[in-house]
Amino acid sequence: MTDYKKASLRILAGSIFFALLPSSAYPQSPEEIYAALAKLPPQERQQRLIAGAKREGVVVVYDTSARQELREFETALRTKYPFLKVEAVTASRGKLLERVLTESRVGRHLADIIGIGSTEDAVLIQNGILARYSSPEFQYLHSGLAGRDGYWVATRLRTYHIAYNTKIVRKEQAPKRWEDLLDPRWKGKLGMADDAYFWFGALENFWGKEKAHDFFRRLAEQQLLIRKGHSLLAELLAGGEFPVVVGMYGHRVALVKKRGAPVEMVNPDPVVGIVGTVGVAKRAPHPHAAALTVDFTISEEGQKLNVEQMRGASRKGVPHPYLERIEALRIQYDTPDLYPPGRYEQIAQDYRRIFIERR
Amino acid sequence: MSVEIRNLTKVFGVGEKGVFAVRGVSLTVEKGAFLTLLGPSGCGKTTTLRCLAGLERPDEGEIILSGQVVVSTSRGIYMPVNQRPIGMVFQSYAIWPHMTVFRNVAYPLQSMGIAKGEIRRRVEHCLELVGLGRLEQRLAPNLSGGEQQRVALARALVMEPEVLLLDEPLSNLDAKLREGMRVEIRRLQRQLGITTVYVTHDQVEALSMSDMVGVMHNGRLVELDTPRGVYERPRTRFGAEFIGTANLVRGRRSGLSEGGWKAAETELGTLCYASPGCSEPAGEEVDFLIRPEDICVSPHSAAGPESNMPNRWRGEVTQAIFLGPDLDCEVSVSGVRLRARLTRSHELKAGDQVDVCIDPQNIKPLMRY
Amino acid sequence: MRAGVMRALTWRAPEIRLRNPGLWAIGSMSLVASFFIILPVLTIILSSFRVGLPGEFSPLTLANYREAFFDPFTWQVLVNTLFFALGTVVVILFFAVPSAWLIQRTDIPLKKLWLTLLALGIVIPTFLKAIAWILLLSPQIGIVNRLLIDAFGLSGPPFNIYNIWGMSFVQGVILTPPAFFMIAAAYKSMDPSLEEASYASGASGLVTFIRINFPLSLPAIIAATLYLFITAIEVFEVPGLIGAPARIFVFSTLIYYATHPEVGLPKYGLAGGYGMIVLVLALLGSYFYYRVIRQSHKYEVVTGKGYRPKLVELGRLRGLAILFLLIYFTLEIFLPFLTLVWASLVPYIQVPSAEAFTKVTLANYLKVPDYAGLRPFLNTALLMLIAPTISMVFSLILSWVVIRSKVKGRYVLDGVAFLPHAVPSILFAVALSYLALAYREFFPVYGTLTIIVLANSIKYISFGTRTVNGALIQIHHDLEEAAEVSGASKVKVLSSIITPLLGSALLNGWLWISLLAFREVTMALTLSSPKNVMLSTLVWNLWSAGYVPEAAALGVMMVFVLGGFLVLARKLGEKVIGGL
Repeated sequence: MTDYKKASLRILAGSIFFALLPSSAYPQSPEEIYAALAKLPPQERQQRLIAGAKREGVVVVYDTSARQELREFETALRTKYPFLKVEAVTASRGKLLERVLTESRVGRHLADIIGIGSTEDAVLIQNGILARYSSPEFQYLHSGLAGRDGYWVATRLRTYHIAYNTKIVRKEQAPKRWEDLLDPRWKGKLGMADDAYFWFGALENFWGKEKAHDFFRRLAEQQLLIRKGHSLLAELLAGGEFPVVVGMYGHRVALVKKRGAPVEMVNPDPVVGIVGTVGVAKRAPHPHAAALTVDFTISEEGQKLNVEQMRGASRKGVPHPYLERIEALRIQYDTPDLYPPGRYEQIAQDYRRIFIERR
Repeated sequence: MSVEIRNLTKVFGVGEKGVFAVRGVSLTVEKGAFLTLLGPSGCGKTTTLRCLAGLERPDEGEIILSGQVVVSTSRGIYMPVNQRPIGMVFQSYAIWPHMTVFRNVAYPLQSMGIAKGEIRRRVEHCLELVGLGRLEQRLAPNLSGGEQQRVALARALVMEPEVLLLDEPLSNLDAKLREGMRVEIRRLQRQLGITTVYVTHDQVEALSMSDMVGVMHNGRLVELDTPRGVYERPRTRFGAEFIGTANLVRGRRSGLSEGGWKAAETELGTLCYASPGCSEPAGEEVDFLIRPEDICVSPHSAAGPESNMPNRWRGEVTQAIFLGPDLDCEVSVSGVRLRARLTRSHELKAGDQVDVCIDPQNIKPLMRY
Repeated sequence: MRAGVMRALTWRAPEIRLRNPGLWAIGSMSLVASFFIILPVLTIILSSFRVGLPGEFSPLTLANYREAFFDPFTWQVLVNTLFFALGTVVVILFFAVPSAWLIQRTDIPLKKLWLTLLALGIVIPTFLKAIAWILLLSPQIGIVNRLLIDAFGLSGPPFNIYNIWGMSFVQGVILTPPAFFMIAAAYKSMDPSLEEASYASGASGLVTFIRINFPLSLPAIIAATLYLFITAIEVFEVPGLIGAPARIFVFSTLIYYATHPEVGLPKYGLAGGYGMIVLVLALLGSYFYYRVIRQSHKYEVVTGKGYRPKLVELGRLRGLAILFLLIYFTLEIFLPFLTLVWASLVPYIQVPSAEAFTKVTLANYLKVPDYAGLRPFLNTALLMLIAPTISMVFSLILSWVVIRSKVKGRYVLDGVAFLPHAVPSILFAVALSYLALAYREFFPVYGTLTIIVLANSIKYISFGTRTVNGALIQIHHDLEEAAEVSGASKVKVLSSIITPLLGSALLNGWLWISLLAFREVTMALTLSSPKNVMLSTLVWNLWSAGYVPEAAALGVMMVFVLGGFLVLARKLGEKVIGGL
């Protein structure tokens, strides 16, 4: 055998060896990695995770949060794990879901962590896009805020309230219950968003469809002042365009209140809670970084970020930014298990028929 | 032969809506000669010129420019405008308003890829030639009409084309300037010996400048002769009427008359005329052309017309207009009105009885057309 | 010898034509432009026969058309859409025609200022303007309403923005500058002798305007009207923000809801179905547009000579004329802009009062750089430089082929160039984004700045070709033929004669497309990714996340930056083409 042939054989053998190496040395899918990690003692698990994340160096987050909020998150994350770069893709819920589905269909697996929302999670689970990952941190969360299979975990909470302008409405006059909104004195004075579908769905869940729809129809008779966008709604409430707003995000009320606007919110029974969830992608290109990031998100440090951003924490023991005595409130959450695929489309259609299009 | 056109046809529009702009025009221009295409607007003269330039694509025919076939529909040859050896002056001058005079004239040379120094030399020479040496850095919109005209001419000549095409170049100038430019263009053309095709609707331009004049009508070339030829011996009624003033008298040929003249019976009476052609059939209807300056008018003499002289009648002046050098006079002969152009020495007024006589040499039978 | 060589060459003349590289370049550029226009449109049409997301295989179906056509609501929407578009063009005409005449043909002072203001107006993002008008005309806290109530002791608000008139008014005011631009060109090119003949007949300036200028510019006005009618059918922001609360829906809002559901997946098929209705409406409009344009060519002035039209002396009416312009600019810029400034200075919206003034702060401006970073500024600058350049190059070539060549089917090409205008931006962007994803292997532009640049370049080819068409018609054909006779190739003619002669028109078109791309938000949002954030999408994101004063502050900053850019561009433009 000539030297030349020997050399080429060696190269061939070498390349086969190296080609096989990654698949034999590491488990391939994120789920397999997580299953392996779960068997390790906490200390060692954490070390492995950090080592893996260091190798990967980056985590790709698809999220509906505002970019500013994601920047704050990135800063906090990098303080703890300076080697981890965050690449964020932000868009509205529908857009992001579409993007994830389309990318998955054409085989472009870019996302590590997908944070859209409950109904979208249901669709993602159905399409096999989310991986199971049960973080050890799950045990510290309020009950019901992490998926039993580990597909999703709620990281932040928003709430729907009745809000009013304190310059126009005195505290004792303000509506206390959802049903109070039907009082004739509010006719033509109630502001409402053109897309409060979650609020609609949560009340359906709580009251049952029949009672809820009866309430909605009577509310629609109140000559609601529909406006597009929660920002506009909050500004108009602050400015006094309407005295009361139905189904207003608590954090938006708190935000303008913090800026000095004369607004206040009441907590009807139930308060409607919207969960912001995240899940790890089944084909996440950076699985270690993804797990590390999820863990951080629901850790004490990660959850405290919520408070600054006026969102409720899903972790026990973290104070709520605007709700006192949260334990005393009944909150109806819209967790993914309550929303089989297709239900939201129905809700949106009913909402539009009852409040908006009113043919 | 520098320009040859064979059976050129151009139709605008398609199908039934199609209009013949040029039909079956054939002509040749000798090297260094000056041909003018003359005719009223819409006669096809400009279209013919544009076909020569390559700005229109003919539907049929061949065009040969200095020995080189540039268009042949039958052989599928078509050379695009920018490759033809021509220079052209447009009616609107088409001086590019965003360039200086120098750059306007240099443009064709730049297109040919000529070296800078050479361009400068030739442009300067050319501007000198048209008398614009001092204006090279002027922007085009700041030029007078006559100056623009000269720039356009310089631009057309600068690449020393085989053929120079001019499309009504003088029609936008005032009368005085026009006269000067006529002489100037002709002088340049002679000096450079450049074959030229010139389009105009102005017969004075055509007659004064050209070696050959072609008259076009409804897309056809109806006359092609020297300036003297088209004026004195037009073939067609249209040609006769379009150039100069024409008295047309209709008549029927009869046999030979005395003195070797041919004769015809007309409204004026018997008309004797000279005809170089062979014998035409008797009894045929013919139009006869009599130019006003060929009519002699004298005050009526009691002796009466000499009977042995042909073409001598008695008439009455119906109108006389004094034009300075000339006297434009209308005479009625047996009810037929004839225009006569007399020298101012004649003192005639309306109502005068006159004798009218016409030399048979100056009476031309026209082709039926 | 030479003749022999030449003869040999001429024998192969047809080949010479085919081998002409310039014509090939022009032809292939036209094809490339057509390809980039037609492909997304075909994608939209195809999607209207499918359900589910683009690329998801589904059999062809008429379900979307059934849903769209058999719903009586759709027909109500059709009526709304037509009324809204009609109302919008009425408002446009009311402002654009007199101001075009005043600025182009009279001796009204401060012309440069008015022209700059017209361009500056389009810098404020449409949705911010709509919001400003909501804040100005809200029944209870609208500043205009409050002032009028206090001043005249009214019992209720005099204005209500939430109806079809409110929508039309705001949209009309916003769309007036482009209309002005299109109509002004007609007044500029009008043969002054026609006007002078009227003065010679003893008519006054005003009479001449009504009896001569107006009828002569009518084709241009109708063309601009139809063009903007089509725009009004397609725009989303104003109908969405003002129409939806009034429960007045137009097709663009339905398309928006179908493609941007708060929850669940976008229904592109249904949006495509609505989009087809819009397309048919728009094509109908463009049919009439073409007829009018063809008519209007009869009036075109064809001249190679420069002339300076006589300006109408306004005399005692000058004050009135300035007042008219001031009223317009108050509505178009001053009021919305002041509202923005106010919103950027106070922590939350409130009627200006002594108390409110104590809360005024500049803090929101200081926060903006922190939120924005450098990237959006850089991206926007690149977009504003590249998109109009591509757009105008393609426009120049397409227009030249359509107006000047004798190629068969050139009018089809013009129709293709008009197509991007007839297709709703949302659908156009969705189609592009899908195509980029599907063909990312060959053309990796998904989620990049390139795709936003591309989207804007294609979208504004319609605008670009309209501009160039109009200007090209006015360049005497002889100027071009003279160059060809001088031995220049088509490409050389295009570059050395036509482009410099079109100078100011090209520059103007470039500038407008640059500004339109700057404020464009619909396509940029649909195509957005973290890497291609634009200032326009940043403002939108800030606003919708509740950072209202910050969004307003960024809006104000954008106006100042763009104001500077405009002044600079005009100065530069004057220098470059100043010789004309």
